[in-house]
Amino acid sequence: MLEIRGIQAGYAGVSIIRDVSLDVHERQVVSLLGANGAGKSTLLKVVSGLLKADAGVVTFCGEDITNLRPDLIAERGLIQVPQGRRLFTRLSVIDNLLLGNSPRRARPQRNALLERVLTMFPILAERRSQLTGTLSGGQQQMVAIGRALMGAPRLLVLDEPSIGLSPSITQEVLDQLTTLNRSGLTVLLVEQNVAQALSVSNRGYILENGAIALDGEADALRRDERIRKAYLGV
Amino acid sequence: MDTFLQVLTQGAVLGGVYALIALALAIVYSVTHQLNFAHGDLMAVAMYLALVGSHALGLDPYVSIALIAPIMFFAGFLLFRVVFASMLHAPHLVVIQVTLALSFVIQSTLLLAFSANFQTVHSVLSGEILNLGPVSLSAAPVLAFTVSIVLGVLAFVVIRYTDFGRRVLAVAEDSEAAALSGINVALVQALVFATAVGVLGVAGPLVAPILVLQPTAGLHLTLISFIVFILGGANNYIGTLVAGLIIGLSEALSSLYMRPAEFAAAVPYLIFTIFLLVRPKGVLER
Repeated sequence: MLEIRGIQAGYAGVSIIRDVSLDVHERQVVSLLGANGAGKSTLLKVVSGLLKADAGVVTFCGEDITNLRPDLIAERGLIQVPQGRRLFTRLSVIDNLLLGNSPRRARPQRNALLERVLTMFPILAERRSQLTGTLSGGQQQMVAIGRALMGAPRLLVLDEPSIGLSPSITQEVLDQLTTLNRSGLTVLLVEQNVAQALSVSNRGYILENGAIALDGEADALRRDERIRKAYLGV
Repeated sequence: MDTFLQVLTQGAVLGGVYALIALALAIVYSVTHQLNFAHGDLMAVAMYLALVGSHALGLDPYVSIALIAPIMFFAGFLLFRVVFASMLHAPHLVVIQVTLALSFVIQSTLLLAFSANFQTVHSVLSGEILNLGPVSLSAAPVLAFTVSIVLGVLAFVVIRYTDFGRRVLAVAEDSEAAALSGINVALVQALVFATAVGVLGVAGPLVAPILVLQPTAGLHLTLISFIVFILGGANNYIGTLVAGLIIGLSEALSSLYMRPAEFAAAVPYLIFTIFLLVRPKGVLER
């Protein structure tokens, strides 16, 4: 579904990521893991169109989307939940959700999508008129995911959803992703939190210093000696 | 007492128009973070278009709004796409330089086309007086005020209650997050800019029968828009309306009471400075 081939990108001529290739197949949960500064967010910016690639190709559902405008990438169903949630804090929960319904492809299903999101996160229905800036971190993450779901994603990309959340709230969010995946959604999960991310994933990629250091089935990665030492602390 | 009420009402009328043109500036700033030093000059263009409509086509300025507003809207759309869109990530100084240049180009063009002579535009309401109890008001300014307030309220309704308005607020708060949500940020910015210039296309013909037209008229309007915008507080559209009224009233009252009279024009700026010291984040912020 998503094929990333030989991507090189960075800022002001300095490459942050080099020759990164990655595949996400339909109906999978794939995690992209790595420490702070490994280049995960840089890669996601290229995938979502916020940053131009210096080299390489991103293909989504058979179509070359490299360096396409972000809203056109969202229009094609590749929708990102940005790091730090990036909610519209001066707007209400419902306004944030409706803004997620901006892709034309998703607009005809507005009511159905909204009902699905509010059923999935009942607390958001209770707080529909509340400004999102006043919600707790976990509730804000629900709005961020709900906003992305309102765009009828074919591939949902999450950039470090665990940031600022307690381990138990993080687990709830990851459980929701598993539920969404079972109902047919493909997920690319970007995380520093290697153990929790691998526990809900089919496959994983480890990014180190801007390059893929290791990839494989999630179970195999969890047993890998290097990963256990470097990321799992055992 | 009658004079006082008269001047007070005139000030409020002026303030309503100031509020509207500053609101146009404020909404553009919130989605592009660009300050347009040619803002008032674009309004001067609309005033001269009303003059052309009146002298060449025999159109009443109020009728010519139906032509001028759409012309200004499309001109604004083009202007944004050609000039402003290319400096969205440019430093503020570049934006100031380019828009100042635009301001000079407009002023020189108006000077070439219409000479430096002061000119006036007549309307059906010229000389008409409304008697409201103790105050008698010229009808033309009252119409300008009423339309300004209606357009200001309309702007709120659109921003608050429509899908497009929601997108405007989203782009204003976080344009990257808006783009990731599938919003065409460049289009929203161009439409907001075009609408603002279109609003100047309404305001220009409305005030053309009240003000004296001269090629440099835009500079005063730009400066007034800026101080109203800053006084109102960034991203506070209601504050902008209140600030417009404050500046309009202070301008009218100072023209009545300030002695020597030459200093009257400085009073709005003095009030602006005092407000900045007391309320640096805008009139309505605490």
